[in-house]
Amino acid sequence: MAMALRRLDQAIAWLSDLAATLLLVLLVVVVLYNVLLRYLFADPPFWTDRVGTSANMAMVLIGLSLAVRHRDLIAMQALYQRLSERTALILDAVWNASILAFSLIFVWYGTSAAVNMPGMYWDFQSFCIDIDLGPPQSGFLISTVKLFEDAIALLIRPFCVDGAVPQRYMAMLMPIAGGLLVVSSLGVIIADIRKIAATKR
Amino acid sequence: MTAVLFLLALMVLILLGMPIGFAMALLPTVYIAVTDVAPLTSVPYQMYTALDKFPLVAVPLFLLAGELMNLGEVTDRMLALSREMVGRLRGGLSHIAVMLSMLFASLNGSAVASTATVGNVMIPAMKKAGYSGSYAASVTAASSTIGGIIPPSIAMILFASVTNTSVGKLFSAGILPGILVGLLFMTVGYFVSLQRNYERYDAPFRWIVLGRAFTRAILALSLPAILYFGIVGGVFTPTEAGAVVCLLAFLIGKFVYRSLSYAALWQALRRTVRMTATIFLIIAAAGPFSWLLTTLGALQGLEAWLVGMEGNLLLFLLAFLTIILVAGMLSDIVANLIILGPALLSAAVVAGFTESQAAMVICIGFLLGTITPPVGICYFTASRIASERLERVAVDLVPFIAAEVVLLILILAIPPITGLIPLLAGY
Repeated sequence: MAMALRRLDQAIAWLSDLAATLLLVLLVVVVLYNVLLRYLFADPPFWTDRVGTSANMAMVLIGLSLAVRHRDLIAMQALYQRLSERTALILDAVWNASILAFSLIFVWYGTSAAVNMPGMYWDFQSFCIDIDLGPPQSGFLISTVKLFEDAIALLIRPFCVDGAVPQRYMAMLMPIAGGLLVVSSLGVIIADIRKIAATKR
Repeated sequence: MTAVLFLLALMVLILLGMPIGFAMALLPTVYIAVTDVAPLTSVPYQMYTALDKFPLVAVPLFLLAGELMNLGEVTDRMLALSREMVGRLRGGLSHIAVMLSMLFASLNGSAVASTATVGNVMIPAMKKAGYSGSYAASVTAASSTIGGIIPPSIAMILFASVTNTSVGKLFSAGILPGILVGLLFMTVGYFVSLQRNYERYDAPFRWIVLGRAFTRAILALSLPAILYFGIVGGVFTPTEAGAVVCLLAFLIGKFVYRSLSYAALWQALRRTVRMTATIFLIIAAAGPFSWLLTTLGALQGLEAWLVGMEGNLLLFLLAFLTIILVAGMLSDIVANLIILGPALLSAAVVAGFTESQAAMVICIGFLLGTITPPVGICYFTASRIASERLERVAVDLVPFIAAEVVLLILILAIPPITGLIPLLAGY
């Protein structure tokens, strides 16, 4: 049982890491794509800001659990240098327990906030409505641009409602991030408890 | 009174070592749970809306650009150029550390990243050359604040996004103060080195060697120029400039310097994700925390209190600088910029200072907090690299902190320091 849970935890960590890293790559590509289209075709797409912002938010929300897992969070260490190893570990466990408590609140109330989130992202309209783009385009650059936009459309179209993407879909990242935070904070608390148990008084 | 209690609670939690972002998110949650003044859904809602801003997308892009530049041989090339430029003065390595930070600042916007990179190169070299560990740590930590002053600066991107000011204008305003603070630090370093009889670089000066070092560093040096003139010239937005610099840094590292592997690139992307998440946790948590302070009337009270002093300029400046320096010492720069920045900027503009002057004083003042105890993250990082006692580093930091306070006073007294370049750039 313990082994299975550990494997599940590792799989979640690996997937989160992969997803967040790919979102960062998407962010860079989308912003560069906007610059490229503006200067090559004088036709910047209006959806890139929204895709960039959404990719950034998703990356951050997923990345939070990784930061907790790797103990990368910004915190002051001055007091720790004056504490015994055991006391420092206990204090660490207390902070991680408070992160776990906040994560549970974030899952519960984040779900409620997401479900009731008003508004639509109209920037995605071009992906949600079938527009006749005319005959297939020739040329490497144009067909690459078309391929990239088709790939983005493939990602976005399942979330379209009445020609736009409801904000509540994006906001569902909150409870998902909260769930990942619960898993990672539980993991570091267990590691803390083991270290405390192994440390002499 | 309640606001003061909450601020005190935040300080205590931070000093006890609780992760800052979670401390800031937890306090409004507790307040709402106890008082029932709003639904608890407002905490995640405000965290979400605090993140939902396009200008913030520039932050991970500049962090990634800095990571990519670190992976190339850029630091070595910058080090060779700095040594040829300033290494022959008394305390040569100390000046090189300052110069390297200034050059590095133009590639990276983060003071902590600058401390880690420059510190790992310079502190061991300085200790080997006979400098005390505390001095090596203090000059490296102090110089790293230049990373937040010379563009691109992540602090300025954040400040611009919360105050609706132009990033290009703030970047332009930071150039002269960045150079000035570098010169002030070199002056301090020169006198300390003279007093302690520290070394200097002995090799005879030859123009051809300087030229060669410059040529080797020219590609890396051209990146900040592309970035700055791209933004000021309206070619790119700051966010786009971040992505373009990432692409150029990758191309230079991979195909020109040939020192960037795909495995290292993947690791750089992973590190950037985690760094971004730690910074954005504070940005997100600043949403509900600012809401709490606004609900309790603290921010409006602070602004009104400062504006009430505008008749007495000296008193205003004293209060203005004290708030910035004390807040910088007690809390994180990102939190300070988002929560206190807008109120301080608006009070300073009402008191007659230009937007550029006030913005620079606020950003540099809060940056000072990164090198002062008890919460100075660059101070801790440099002390750890030097394996030196915190108290000793704190003592050696005093002249550098004094030099930076002198810079703040100069900025407030001489408007062209922050106004000239924005004016020339058309802002």
